[in-house]
Amino acid sequence: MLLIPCPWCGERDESEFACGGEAHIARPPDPDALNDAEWADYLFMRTNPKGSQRERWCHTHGCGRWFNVERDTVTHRILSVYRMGEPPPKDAP
Amino acid sequence: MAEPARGVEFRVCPPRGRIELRGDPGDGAFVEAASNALGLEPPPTPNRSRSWADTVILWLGPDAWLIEVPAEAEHAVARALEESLSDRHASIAVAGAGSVTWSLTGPRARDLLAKGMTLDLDPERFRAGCCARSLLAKVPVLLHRPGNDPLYELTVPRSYAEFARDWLEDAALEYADTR
Amino acid sequence: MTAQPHRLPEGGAIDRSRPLGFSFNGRRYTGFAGDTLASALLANGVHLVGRSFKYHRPRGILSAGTEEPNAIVQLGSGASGLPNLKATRVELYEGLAARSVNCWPGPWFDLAAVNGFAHRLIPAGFYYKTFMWPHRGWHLYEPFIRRMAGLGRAPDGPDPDRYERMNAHCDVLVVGAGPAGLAAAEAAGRSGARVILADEDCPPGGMLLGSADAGGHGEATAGLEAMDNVRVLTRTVVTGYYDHNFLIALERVTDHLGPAAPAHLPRQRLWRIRAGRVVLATGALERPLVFANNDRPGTMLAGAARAYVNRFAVLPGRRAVVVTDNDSAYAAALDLHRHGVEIAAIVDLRPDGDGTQCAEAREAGLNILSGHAVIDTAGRRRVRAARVARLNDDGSLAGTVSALPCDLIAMSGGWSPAVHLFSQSGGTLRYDAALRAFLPDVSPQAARCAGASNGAFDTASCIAEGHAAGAGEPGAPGPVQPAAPVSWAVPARSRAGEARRFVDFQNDVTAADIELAAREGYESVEHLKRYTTLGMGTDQGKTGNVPGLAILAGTLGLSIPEVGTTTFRPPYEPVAFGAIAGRDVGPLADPVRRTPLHAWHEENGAVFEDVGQWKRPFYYPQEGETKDEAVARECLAVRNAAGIMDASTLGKILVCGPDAREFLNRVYTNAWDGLAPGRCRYGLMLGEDGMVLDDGVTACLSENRFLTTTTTGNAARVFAWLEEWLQTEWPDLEVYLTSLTEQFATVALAGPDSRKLLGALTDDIDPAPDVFPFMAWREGRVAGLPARVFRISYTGEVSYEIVVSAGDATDLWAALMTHEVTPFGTEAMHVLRAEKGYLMIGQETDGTVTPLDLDMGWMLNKKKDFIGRRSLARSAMRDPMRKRLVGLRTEDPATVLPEGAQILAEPPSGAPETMIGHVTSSYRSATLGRSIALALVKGGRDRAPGTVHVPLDDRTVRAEICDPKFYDPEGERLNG
Repeated sequence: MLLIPCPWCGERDESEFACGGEAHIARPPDPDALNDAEWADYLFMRTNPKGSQRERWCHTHGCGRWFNVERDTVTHRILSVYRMGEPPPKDAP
Repeated sequence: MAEPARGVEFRVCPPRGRIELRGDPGDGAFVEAASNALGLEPPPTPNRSRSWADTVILWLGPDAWLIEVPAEAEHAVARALEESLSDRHASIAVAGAGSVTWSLTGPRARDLLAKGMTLDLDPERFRAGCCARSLLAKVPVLLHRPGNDPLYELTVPRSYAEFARDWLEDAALEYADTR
Repeated sequence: MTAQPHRLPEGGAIDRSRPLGFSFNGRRYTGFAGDTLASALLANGVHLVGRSFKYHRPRGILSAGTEEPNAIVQLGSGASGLPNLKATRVELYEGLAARSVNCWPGPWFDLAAVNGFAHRLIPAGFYYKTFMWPHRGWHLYEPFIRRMAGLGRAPDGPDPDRYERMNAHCDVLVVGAGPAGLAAAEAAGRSGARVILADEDCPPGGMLLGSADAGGHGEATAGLEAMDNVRVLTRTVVTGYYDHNFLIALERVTDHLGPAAPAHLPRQRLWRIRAGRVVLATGALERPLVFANNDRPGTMLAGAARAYVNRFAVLPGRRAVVVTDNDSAYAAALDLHRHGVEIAAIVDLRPDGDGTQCAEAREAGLNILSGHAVIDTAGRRRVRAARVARLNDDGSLAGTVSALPCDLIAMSGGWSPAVHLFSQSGGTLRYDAALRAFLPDVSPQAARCAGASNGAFDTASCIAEGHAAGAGEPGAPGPVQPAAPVSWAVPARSRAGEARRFVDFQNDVTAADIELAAREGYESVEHLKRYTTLGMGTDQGKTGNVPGLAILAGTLGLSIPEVGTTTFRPPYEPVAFGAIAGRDVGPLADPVRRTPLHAWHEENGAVFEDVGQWKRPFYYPQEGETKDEAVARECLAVRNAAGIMDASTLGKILVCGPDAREFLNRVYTNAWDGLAPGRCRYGLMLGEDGMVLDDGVTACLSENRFLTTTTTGNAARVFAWLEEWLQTEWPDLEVYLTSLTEQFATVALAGPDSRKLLGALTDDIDPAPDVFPFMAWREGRVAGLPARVFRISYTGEVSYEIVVSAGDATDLWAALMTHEVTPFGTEAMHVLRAEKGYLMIGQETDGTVTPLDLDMGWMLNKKKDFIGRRSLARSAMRDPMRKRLVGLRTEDPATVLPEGAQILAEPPSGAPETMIGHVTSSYRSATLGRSIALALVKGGRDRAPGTVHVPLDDRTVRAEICDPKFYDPEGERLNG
């Protein structure tokens, strides 16, 4: 059972959250510009790394906010959390 | 023989007015207009409440608050907010009939909640003026600590109220007698 | 019966003023408060406590703790029977009734003991070799094998006991209250941290309880109890260590009280603990020595013998042989000696023991046989003698064998630090050759071992390590007492003896089994475990695993770290299912949601249907009515007059903001630009994969405010889905969503008489169709209550949904009931909408159905983008041979097809059939006087007119493909 630091509410039990999968996959602005393979790639294909991964989580049973979590998929260690629209901490200047 | 001391007391609070307010706390004009209508500024700090006279404002999210007012004032306060915020992007929804609030008090009130909640209810951490949405026995709840008496107010969506009451009564069985 | 012939006249942590009567296998005995079942049995001279799992060999008490593999008992019977408890962990109470689990009729005469004579026929991997072939035979053998090899008896009814659950948070969790744990808790407590100290025993003290100087722990415990910030949980075993320092512990709240337990307290409580950091002071577990017939009753671990004599004032024997490969057993020998046990010999496998206690033993004049081993034992149901021989330097037998008469063999094969929880935390282990033990190495979590679990075996080091760990200071490693490199298994003199050197006592795994498995190629320790069942018993191999893998390493010529350990998994100790379930049983198992009208439905005899967590009225049977009759009556009432239904469970979402309309355009397939205040519109929502997600009606309240409804089952999901798009993809849209599902109650009023009825209930809403048309809404008072009325229809009849504050619902319903209306439930609603061919989410859709499949292409706006649109543009989505919605009319109008039935194009031929679709909805329609069904069929209505075949269990039903609009296809009745 993970302990997830919500950027607003602080550390809360995993049972309050929903995981939304890999983060930073933007919806293509013009879906018609994509061929079927490219569209399928957007829709279904995910990196699924062993190690650090950026994910979206929602504090469903708390403040209701979506935010980003950088998590090690092996150890489950949470490396950072940051709000929607913010750059991942490593990329920050 | 005297009545055995009870470890926890909980009872349904009388109906109260509730308004769900949403708006941008970074928008000074929104905050000012809301404060004017409520006589109280919506708390910007996560999981904190603010109260003055009959009005309590609880933080629900970074752009969401629950305003508690006396039942008879619910529609008037909502109208006042609508007028005051007519030119701002805000959402005002009357919600008083949508939930039920219990007050909980007694030396085992915290243990009773801890049976079904993963929140850290340490009185040094969840102090007077703290509030949080969470789950109690899989039921979405809003927990508020208004002060020391009552120790907690537990607000539950109306449809879950009967289940939540059954759960609380069951969980309180072992605290019925504190001797 | 009160004799307790093996009890010492004084000493021990037992209360001689409180004798307790108990029974074991039907015989009555007496023990004292403070006893375990095991110590009380030993006090009464009972050593034979059960039979082994596979060979049904007589077995005695091996240990004094949680590692016990042999003394497994059943308490009570029937529903409240508790199987597979360890006698060494069961605290005695008045009236306790225990039985051995693995023998019939009893441990003294066990019919299955014949297995022991057939010993050579039951080698390692016996199940796999024998009974898996022929394949069809397993089901014949299995019940027999299970009975022969059974452990305990499952309760035969619902568990009458109560189990609770508690969530707890602390800065420091200390597991184990031995010297290290007590020191850790005290240091952490003094720093002001919030501390939980959990110990499986009661009272705290750990190894101190079993040592000669028992009592020193009392002071430390009292100090802890004085600290408000320290919570001491006794009788609480931490069973699992999970991610982010989340641990599970099981507290035995009233188990030790038996029938005297107060009714208001739970039997057990499962603690869910979130700790800042964890100090694992879990101690070490003594290992048995592996020699022939090392399992005879009267053979026990030396530390256990010491605990029985010191803590329980019980003599586990009168004349003991102590056999050891390390110094620790000398303390046991001395304590036994002090209490009057004759020490026949201390047999030390090492050429020379040199600890301080060895010197003490010499001084006390004890007979020490260095470089010797016990190589076999004599006796049947109790050990009678130990056969002792000298060892050569290479561990082989030398010289003559002498028999030492004895009734107790106290053995020590060294100590294994209890690294189970550390390993569960993700921690790695390292093998220390000097200590001959696996020690904790590095954990990815804030976990740290202290004391014996860290390889520090003397009390002073334990306290120092515990103190440092509790205070969060770096700890210096304690002094290491190197162990001599001696053999892990003592050879036997005969082949029969070779085969009876037990490693895993509970699962009857011998050294020979391990050697055989290695020869057969099971070289990985994980394979060895599964092939031989080493360590797979309820004791999880706490005593035997390390000797077992060491023997494997020896056989393969590998080092012990090369072989490694099997994975340590939770739980550390078995946990009752009841404790895991807690109060999540019966009516509290899952939340139940009730509408504001629930009490009325209940009082009026409604049969309820579960829709998600909601209880919805399914139908309202009148006296003597069957379900079909009630549903037919309700349907006809709606078609011919008027009915009312509680629709409060529909999801209601307020969509508010200047971009609300644009938002709706993006999430719904159809366009919202033209929807004026006062009007409403049906909308279809897709996933980005183009599959139908949900549907519902949205009303325009004002230019910037819309009220959207969702299906009952999808309300929470759709709300979360909309929030996700707003927050993550379109944060630029100025839209706020607020769920109003709970705030409002909805009553659907449907049927040709509904317009008249509505008119009778309201003064300020004109129901005339020209001013209140279909797909409009009005605000006003209904039955004197503030209401919004939506003219929409899910039945095909003139219909209104009246929405009032949840608090007003019962008044509205009561006002409606004063008129000629029939309450109808969800089943009638299902039938009525199916008669119209209306889609029901979750029935006609299952996540693989597009709007095109439902012939709802008209709902797809071509002038805008919306979620799911691009996916529908894939050519495969327009394949006419996709499964599409059709109506089905059975040839026999009385036949109602089962929902989910598969559909064939041709009558079944007996060969594997090609399914072309399945039935999604199927009802008996009273309106039409026949059955109707909706189905998804490849090719859809391109097959119409045409016949399909639906094979059922006993026959095949023929049905005609038709238009799903069975009733009023032109929709004339909508306007009444």
